[in-house]
Formats: sequence, C-alpha cells, structure tokens
Amino acid sequence: MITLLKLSEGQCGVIHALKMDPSLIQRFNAMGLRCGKKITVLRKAQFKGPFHVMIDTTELMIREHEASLIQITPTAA
Amino acid sequence: MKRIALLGMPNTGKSTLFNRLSGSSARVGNWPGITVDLHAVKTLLGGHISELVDLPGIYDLQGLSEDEKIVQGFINHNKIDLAIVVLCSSQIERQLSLMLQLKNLHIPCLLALNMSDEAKKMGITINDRILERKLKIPVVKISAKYGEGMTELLKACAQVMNQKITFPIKKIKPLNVSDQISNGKKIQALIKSTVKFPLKLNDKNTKKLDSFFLNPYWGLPIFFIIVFSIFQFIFSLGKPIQDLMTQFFNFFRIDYLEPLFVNHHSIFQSLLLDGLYLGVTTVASFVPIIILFFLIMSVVEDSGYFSRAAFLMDTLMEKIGLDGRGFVMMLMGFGCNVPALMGTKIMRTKELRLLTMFVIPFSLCSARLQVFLFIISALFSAKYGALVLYGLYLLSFLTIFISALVFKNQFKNKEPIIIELPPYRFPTLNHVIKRSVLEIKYFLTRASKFIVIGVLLVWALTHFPTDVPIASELTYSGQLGKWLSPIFQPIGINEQLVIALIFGFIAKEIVIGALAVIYGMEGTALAHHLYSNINQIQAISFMIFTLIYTPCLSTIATLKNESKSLSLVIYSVSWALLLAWVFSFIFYQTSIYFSS
Ligand SMILES: Nc1nc2c(ncn2[C@@H]2O[C@H](COP(=O)(O)OP(=O)(O)O)[C@@H](O)[C@H]2O)c(=O)[nH]1
Repeated sequence: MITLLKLSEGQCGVIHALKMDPSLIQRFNAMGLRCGKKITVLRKAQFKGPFHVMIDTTELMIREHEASLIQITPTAA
Repeated sequence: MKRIALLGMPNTGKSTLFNRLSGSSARVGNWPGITVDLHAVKTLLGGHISELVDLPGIYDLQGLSEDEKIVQGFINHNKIDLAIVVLCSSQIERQLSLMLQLKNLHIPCLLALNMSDEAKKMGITINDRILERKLKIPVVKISAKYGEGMTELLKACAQVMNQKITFPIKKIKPLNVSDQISNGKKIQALIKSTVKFPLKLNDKNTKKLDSFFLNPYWGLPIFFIIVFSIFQFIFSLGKPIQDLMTQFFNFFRIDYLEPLFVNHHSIFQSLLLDGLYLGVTTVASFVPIIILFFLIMSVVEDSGYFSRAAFLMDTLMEKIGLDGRGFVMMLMGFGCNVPALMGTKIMRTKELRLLTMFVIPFSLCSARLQVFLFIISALFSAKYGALVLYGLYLLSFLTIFISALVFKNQFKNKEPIIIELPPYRFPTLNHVIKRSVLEIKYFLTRASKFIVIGVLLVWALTHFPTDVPIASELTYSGQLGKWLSPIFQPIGINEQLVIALIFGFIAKEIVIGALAVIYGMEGTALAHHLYSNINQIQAISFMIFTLIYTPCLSTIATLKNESKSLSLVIYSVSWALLLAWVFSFIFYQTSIYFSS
C-alpha cells in the first residue's frame, strides 16, 4: 500500500484509507474521495506542485500535503 | 410568507437557478444568526409569496468552513418551509450525502437534478421516478442554464409547501462515524438501483482543452497572455469611460452647480462642492470599472478557467500562503484595487481570502500610476524616469510578497485546499449581467456612505479654520503636518507634501490636484515649482511612501465590506503605514549618505 504521492501521471489506484480525522474524511468524501473509489492521476505540476486527479466524473486539484493523506493500492488503468 | 432556501454543493448551478426563479429584483435581507449578506428575492413560487434565499455552496452540513457555518446558522435560526437541494447530475453519487443530511433534519425538501443536459451528453441516465420513491422526496430533472424542467420544479415546490409538516425540524448535530457509514451505504444502494454510468465517459472536450491549457510548457505562458489581455481590455476600456465621466462631472459642476450656489456663503458652497460633490463623484467614478471587471471575470469564472489558473500558479503561490486565483486578483489590483478586492469572493477559504485581501492594496494601481507619471515627468529625464517607474513596480511586487510571507502564519488556513476542476462551460449572458449588476449595487449601497464621510472629513481638515487659506499650513491639516514632521523629516517629506498625502487618502488621483491647491499653481507651473523645490531623492521617497502608505478611501471601504472585519482594516492600514515609512526611510537615508 502506498500514498497517492507515489503515483505518477496517468497511473491509477483504488483508495484504501484516508488518514485524517473524521470531520476531514467527511469533507473528502463529499468531494468524491472515498474508500473503494478508483482514482486516476491526470497530471502533476512540476516542482512538487499540485496533482490533477479524477474520481468518477469529478476532477480535483490536490496539494501534496492532502495527497500524502490518501492511501491507495495501485491498479492497472 | 414562506421561506425557500437553495442548497447544494459549490458549482452545482444554484445561482443560475436562483436567477431563473427570481426573474427581476434581488434584495438583501437580514437573518438572525447570520453575519453575511445572502442573496434573496421575494417572488411567487408554488402558489405562495415566498422569500427565495440562495445559500452559499457547501460540502456538508457539519463542516467548519466559513460557508458551512453560515448555512448551519441559517438552518438553526430560521424556519425553512422548503429546501431545494440542487445537485449536479453527473456527480450525483458524491452529492447525495448533503440531501440525506437535510432529510434527516426533517426539513421539507425536494431534489433538483441540475445539469441534466450535461449528464445526458455524458451518457449518464438517472431513473428519477425510482429515486423519488426511495427517497420519499420529489425529484425533478432540470437544466437551470437552458430552463428545462422548470414547470415540473414549480409543481414540486407547491406540492411540498402544501404538505402538512409531520415531524418537528431538528437542529444540526454532529454526525458520528456510524451515521457517516450508514449514509454511505444508503447512497451506494440508491445509486446502484437508479443511476447508469456508461462504460467509458465521453467528455472529450474538457480533456482536450485541459491538455492545452494545463500543458506543462505553454500552460503558464497562455495563462499570462489571457490575464494580460483581460487586464488590457478592462482597464483600457474603463479608463476613457472614467475620463469622460470626470469631464462630465467637472462640466456639471462648473455650468450648473456653481451658478446654483453662487449666492450662498462660501463655506457652504465649498462644503457642497469640494466635500459632498467630490465624495459622490469619487464613488461614481468606480462604477464603470467595477461593471466591466465583473462582466469579464464572471465569464472567466463560469467557463471553468479560473480553477485551472489556480492549478497553474499553485506551486509558486503555496509558498507564500496564497493560491492561483488570489494571484489573478492581485494582478487585477494593478488596474484598480477595488474590484480586485471584490473579486476575491470566489475564494471560499476564509484565511486564504483574507490574506489575499491583505496584500492586494499594495498593487500599484492606475490611480497611483497617474501621480507617479506626473512627478516623474516633472523631475526626471525620460531615461531615468523609466527606471524609477520600473523600480516602483518592482517595489510593489516586493511589498506584496513580503507582506504575504510575514502574515502567512497569521492567516493559516485550517481547511484542506482541494479545488474542483469543473468541465469547461459556456457562460450565460444573463448570469454574467446579473452578477455585475449585483456587485455594483453592493458597492454603491455599502461603500458610498463610508467614502462620502471620509471625503467630508478630509475636507474639514483642509478647509478649517475658515479664516486661513485653503490647504495652507494654518489649517488643521497643516497643523497636523507640522505635528507629524518629526516622523516625516527623516524620510524627506516636507509639510506641504504631508498635506498632499492627507488628500491622497481620498483617492490617489487627487494628490496632484491637492498639490495644485497647496502651491496655488497648476500644470506646467506646478511641475516647474516641484522641480525647483524638491530634489529627486525627496521625490522618490515621496513616491515610495505614496505607493505603500495607505490605499485610497474606496479601497479601505471595500476591504471593510468584503472582510466584514474592522480589525483586518486596522491591521492592514497600520502595516502599510509602517512599511511605507521603513522603505522610504531606508531609501532616503542611504541615498543621502551616498550622495553627500
Ligand atoms: N450545462 C449546464 N451548465 C449549467 C447548468 N446550470 C448551471 N450551469 C453552469 O455551471 C456553472 C456554475 O453555475 P453557478 O450557478 O455559478 O453555480 P453555483 O456555484 O452553485 O452557484 C456556470 O458556468 C453555469 O453556467 C445546467 O443546467 N447545465
């Protein structure tokens, strides 16, 4: 199991756990970041910039810090 | 009167629906337990005269963000006869949670599946009849943008409002983890039985546009070209309109107002013309810029490009505690601080927004540019003049970055920064116009009183006592200048210039006019006088101080309105004064040292 940080552009994984307190989990869920969901990294900005990810029909910009809280199991695209 | 609230996550089309349902006039009401203004209208809906309120977009009812607190306050303190829950059909899976939370409070609701046009295009089908039966709540497919499903929506509204309320409405309580899980399971089951997703989503346009706009190589250059063009468009179109208005105001004053009051006592005349009339025209001069600004900005915002800008600039902006949208607003501040401050509304994280508002006033706006151009052309050769101006622009950026860095920890945001990148959409003209009208109304009703009072105050300082020449050293402003001279001497600013700075508090453009009054000469004569009475070091020091010391009255009024926080205003003005003095001091003293 790895965090979202480890994925590179074009790779995807299934969200396994959200390592944060429950109130934040609720916010993440509302944005589509939910355990069991497939998440795809569409692009990463250079110089440790934000991630552009997709979950179902939702696309988000996530910063490194938030990405480090999301644990995933890598899957094939 | 019934009260109907529009609720939903951000970007689901609530304001579009609000505009469609409200038709004409919007008004701002007062609600107990709420510190901000919400958009509301009185309108006939579902057979009842109702007050329709557009609540800010939220992700869940329990959250601690500013917007979530506002909605919580509204729900807990007000009786809601109907909540229209708006969601984006293609994202129904993650957006249903809000609906369930509301339903658990027993608030009478109905579910509006908005953007059904988009869902259809993507190949997503929702069986609204089954969903309705399972939720035991009316469900209507609509497209707020194209006006589809409105009759059904109104019918559903009437149906819910005419129902007898069976359970008392509950107050919002924190959800515990088991509630969360059971809600999650309920949603999964609902989705499974009502929504069909295609195997492969076809939203190729957004993908294509993103690979263009977010390209690692040309993404940023394109961004700067776009921002630059917008800037040019707004301010090069706005400036001539503003100039025309100024001419008209002058003409009106000379041809109509002055003859009208010619028989009145001179101090009364001056109060009306140099005080009140100046105040009113100052307010009015912002109108064209604000309208243009929001016409263009709402297009950019509605199209979805703004969140892309956030993505592009995030790497750099994160370091100084801001985000990409804040960066755009800061750049717009170089045209005029006032609309730039109003534009920070799109940033929904409170701390991020406050920090952005804190730094915008340091942007060298076009009004300040006017003053600098006059002084520079009076005292410097073309070659050095350009250099001085570049230096001032550089200093403006420097003060922005320094201020952001210094105060970044004061305004540390507690929320995660996750920004949605919605599909690219064509903005609607109606929405864009409504937004501009709303913003201008807001500015006029909120800022004008403050600005007029400020102008009158400066008028009093520079015109009393009445038996001495206007703006002379014997007036209160002159006495103030003398009293402050121990502070201004070390930075090379003399007492007359201090009086000009006091005028400059109203609006930076006035500084030149003020110098004309103070020295009793205009145009080239004034330029010559400055040339022979002030040296270049003093002039630069004066310009540095003018750049930083305090934004104009209108900016301060807007800062107050938008932040709703007097302490932020005091903070901001004191920090600016301090910074201005320090920079002028460093410049003046080192220059004196090296030139002697
Ligand atoms: N395709 C489509 N776009 C819509 C619809 N309703 C709103 N929009 C667009 O969605 C974006 C967000 O709408 P807005 O009303 O500002 O959302 P709010 O943040 O919930 O108030 C805008 O670009 C609207 O033009 C709709 O029914 N169909």
